[in-house]
Amino acid sequence: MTARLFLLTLVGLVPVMLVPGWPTALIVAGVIIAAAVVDFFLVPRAHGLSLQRTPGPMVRLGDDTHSTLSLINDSTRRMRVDVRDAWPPSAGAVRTRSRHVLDPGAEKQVRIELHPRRRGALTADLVTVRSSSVIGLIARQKSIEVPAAIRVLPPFVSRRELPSKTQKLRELEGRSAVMIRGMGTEFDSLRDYVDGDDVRSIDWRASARAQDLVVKTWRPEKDRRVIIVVDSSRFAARRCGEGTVFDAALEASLLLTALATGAGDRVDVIVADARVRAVASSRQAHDPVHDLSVALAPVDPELYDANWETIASAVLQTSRQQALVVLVTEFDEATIADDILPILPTLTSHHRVVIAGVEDPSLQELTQSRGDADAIFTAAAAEEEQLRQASLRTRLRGLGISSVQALPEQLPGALADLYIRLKVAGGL
Amino acid sequence: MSAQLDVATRGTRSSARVPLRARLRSAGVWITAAIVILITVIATLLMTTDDETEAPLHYDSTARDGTKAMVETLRAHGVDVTTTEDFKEARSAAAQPDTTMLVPTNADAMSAGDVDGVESALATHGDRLVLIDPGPAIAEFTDRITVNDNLSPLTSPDPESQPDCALPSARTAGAVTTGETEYAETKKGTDGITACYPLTGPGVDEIDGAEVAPGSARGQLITDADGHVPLTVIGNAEWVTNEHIDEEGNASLVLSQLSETAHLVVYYPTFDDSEEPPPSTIDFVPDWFLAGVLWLAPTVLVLLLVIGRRFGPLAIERLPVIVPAVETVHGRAALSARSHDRAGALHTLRTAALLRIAKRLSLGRETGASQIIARIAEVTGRDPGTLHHIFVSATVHTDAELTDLVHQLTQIESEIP
Repeated sequence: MTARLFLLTLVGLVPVMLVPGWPTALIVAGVIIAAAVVDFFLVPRAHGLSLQRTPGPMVRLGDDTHSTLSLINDSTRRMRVDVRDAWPPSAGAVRTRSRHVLDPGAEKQVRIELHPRRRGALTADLVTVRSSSVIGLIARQKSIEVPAAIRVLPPFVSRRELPSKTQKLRELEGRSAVMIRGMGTEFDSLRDYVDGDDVRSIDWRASARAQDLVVKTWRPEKDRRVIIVVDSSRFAARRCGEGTVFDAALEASLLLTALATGAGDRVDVIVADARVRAVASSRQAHDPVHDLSVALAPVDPELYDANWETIASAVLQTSRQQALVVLVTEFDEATIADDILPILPTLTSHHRVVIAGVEDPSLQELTQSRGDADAIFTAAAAEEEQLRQASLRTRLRGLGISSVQALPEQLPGALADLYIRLKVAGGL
Repeated sequence: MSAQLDVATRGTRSSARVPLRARLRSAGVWITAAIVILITVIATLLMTTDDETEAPLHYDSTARDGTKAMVETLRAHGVDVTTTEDFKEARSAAAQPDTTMLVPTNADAMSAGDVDGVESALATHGDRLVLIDPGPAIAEFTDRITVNDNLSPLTSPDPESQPDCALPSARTAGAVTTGETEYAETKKGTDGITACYPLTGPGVDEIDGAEVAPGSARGQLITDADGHVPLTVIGNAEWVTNEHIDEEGNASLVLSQLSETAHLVVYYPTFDDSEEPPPSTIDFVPDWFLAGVLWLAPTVLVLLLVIGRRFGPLAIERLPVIVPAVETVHGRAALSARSHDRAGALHTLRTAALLRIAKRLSLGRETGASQIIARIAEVTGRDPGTLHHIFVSATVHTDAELTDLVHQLTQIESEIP
C-alpha cells in the first residue's frame, strides 16, 4: 500500500458524498480493491534485482568513509524501487533511503556516506527493496541480506605525542653513549680518553696501537624485541573515562609500536583473554602501526577471565630472544597473585617484564568526595582501592618488575617514557 | 567484467530469491495463526447456533418458565413438531391435515386478521387449535367460551384439581395442580363444550356471578368440539412449564392433548416493535455528510496501513560489553557504611592523606608517620599535638565526628604547598 492508494481512497469520497447510499459505497470500494489487486500483480518482483555492496576504505575512528550499493536489474521489466540501505546506528549512515528507476539490464550505484562512531568491524544490515508499478497503488517489499563490513581502526589520538617522544629518544641515545658494556648494548666506536671516563672502558689494545689512551663506547642495542600483551578479558571491558580500558590499552600499544619500530626494534602485539584473540608483528611490515590497527580493530573485550598460562606460552613462542614484555592489564590483587605471579618466573627468566595498567579517573574523583558520612565512606572505599593498587605496584617492584599506571589519556605517553628510560639505560 | 572479478572488487552479489522451503518456514507462523483463528471462529459459531431465549413459555427456553421440555418430549414420542415465531410460516404449516396448532402465550399479540387467517387455515382441514391461558384475548378466537374472571379475592382453591368430567385424557391424567384462572361457556348448556378441572374448595361455590350464568360448564381445561375450529383452552400455564410439568398429572394431561394429531405447530406470537422511535440527532444530519463520514473509516484504515508499514526491520547493533567498574567501589562503601566501619574508613583516609603529603613534601617512602607529622607542623605552623590527634590518635564514635575529622584532614592537606 502506498500514499497513492490513500489518495485514491480519499478521491472516492467525492462519488460517495454525491450519491449517498450503500450501493455507491460498495461500487467505489470494489473499484478501489480491484485496482489494488490488478496493481499487485503488475508490480515487478524484487527477485529480479541483484544487489552488491562495496565497502569504502578503512578509516580511523573520527574520519568518514562510504559504502557503495550496486543495483542491477536482471529482469526483463522496468523496475521502480525504493531502497533502504540499512547500517547499524554506530556506523552513522546518512540518507539511507533512495528511489530509482531501472531499465532492464541497467545498473545503478548508490553511494552512502558513513560517519562511524565506534571502533571495530561494523557489519552492514539488510537492504530493503520496495518495488512498485507505474500505477503505484501497491508496493511489494523485500529485505535482502547483502554482506559487507567496514573496518574502523582505533583513533590513535596519541599519534601527536610520537614526534616529541621520538625526539626525546634520539636525544637521550645520542647524549648517553653508554660507557659500560651491559645487557642490551652494542659496540659503538672508539674515541680518545678524556678525564672522567671510566678506566674500565679503556681499550688497551687500541691504545697501544694509537700511542694514546682510547676508550670504547657503547650504545643501546638495535633490533631488540618488544612484545606487547594486551589483556582483553573482563577487566578490559571496564568503563574508564570516555571509552573502555581496552581502548586506552590499544592507544598505548599503538604509540609504543610506532616509537619502538622507529627506533629499530621489532614489536609483536598479542591480544588475549581466555584465548589469543589477535596477533600482529612489525616484522616484514611496511607500516607496522597500520597493520597493527587493522589486526586489532575487530577485537572487543569479552567477559572472560584471562588465561595467563596461554598468554605466557604465546609470548614464549613469539620470541626466544630476550625481549621487553609489556603486559597491559589491570592491577587487580587477586588476578596478579593467583594468575600472573605463577607464570612470571618463566617470563622473567628470558625476558624483561613490565606491567602497565589504566587508572580509573572516576576513582580519583570519588576520593575527593566529602560532605556527609556516606560520601566519606565512598571516598574511603576509593582510597582503599588506590592504596591497594599502589601497594601491589610496590610489591611488584620488589620482584624486579617495573610498572606504570596512568589515566587513560596519559597511559600511552607514560608507557613510551618507560620504554625510553629502559632503552637508554640499556635495560632492554 | 567477469563475475568472479566483479565479486572480488565489489563484494558478494545478492538476490532476493528465497527457496520455497525457507519461504514456507517463515510463513509457518502466519499459516498456523490463520488455522487457529479459523478453528476458533467455527467453534464459536457452532456453539452459538442454539439461540437460547428467556421468554416465558418459549419453546426454546430451558428456564423454569420455558416449555422446551414439553416440546422435546413430544418430539421424542413421534409428534412432528414445527416451532416458529413467524406468523406466515405458522399459517402455512397449519394448513395441512392432521395438525394441531398451539399458541402458548401472547395470544393478545395476534390481531383479529391474524386470528381469522389461522382459523381459516385450520378449518380447511378440520385441524385443532390449542390456547394456553389466553385471558380476555379468548374473545378474539371464539364467542362460545369466556374467561371466568369474577373470582372473589377471598377464595382459596384446593392445591389439586380433580378432572370431574368425561374427557378420557383428563380421566387418565387424574389430579393436576391448580392455577388461578377458569374458563367457562358463554351460554349455559352450549353443545360440544366440555369443561374439566373446575376450581373447588372454600369460597369457590359462590363465584358464579354476573358474566357466567350459574351452573354453566366451567373449568381450567375446556374444549369446544363444535365451534368454527375445534378449540381447546388450557387454563393453567403451569402445566406446560419446565418447572411444573412433572408434577401430578400435568404431563399426562398436556401431552395427551397435544399428541392427538401427527403434526403440531407451536406458534409463539411476538409483539412487533413497529413503533417509531423518537427522532434522534442523526436524523437531522444530511445523508451525503453521513456517507462522507462513514467513508472516512476505510480511508483512515488505508492511511494507517500506509504509514504503519515499516521499511525493513530495525537495524541491529552488536555493542561491545562495558562494565561499570566504579560500582564495586560504591558497593563496598555502602557495605562499610551499613556496618558502621568508621575506624576502617578513617584509617584508610589518614593513610592516603599521609602518603600524599609525604610525596608532596619530598619525604622518602619509608618515612614514619611521626616524622611526616613533624614536617607538617613545620610547614603549616600548626600544633604537633593537634596534628597527632587528627592523624593518629583520635577515635570516632559517630558519623558526625567522622565527618568533622575528615574535613579537618582535608583542610590540613590543602594547606601543604
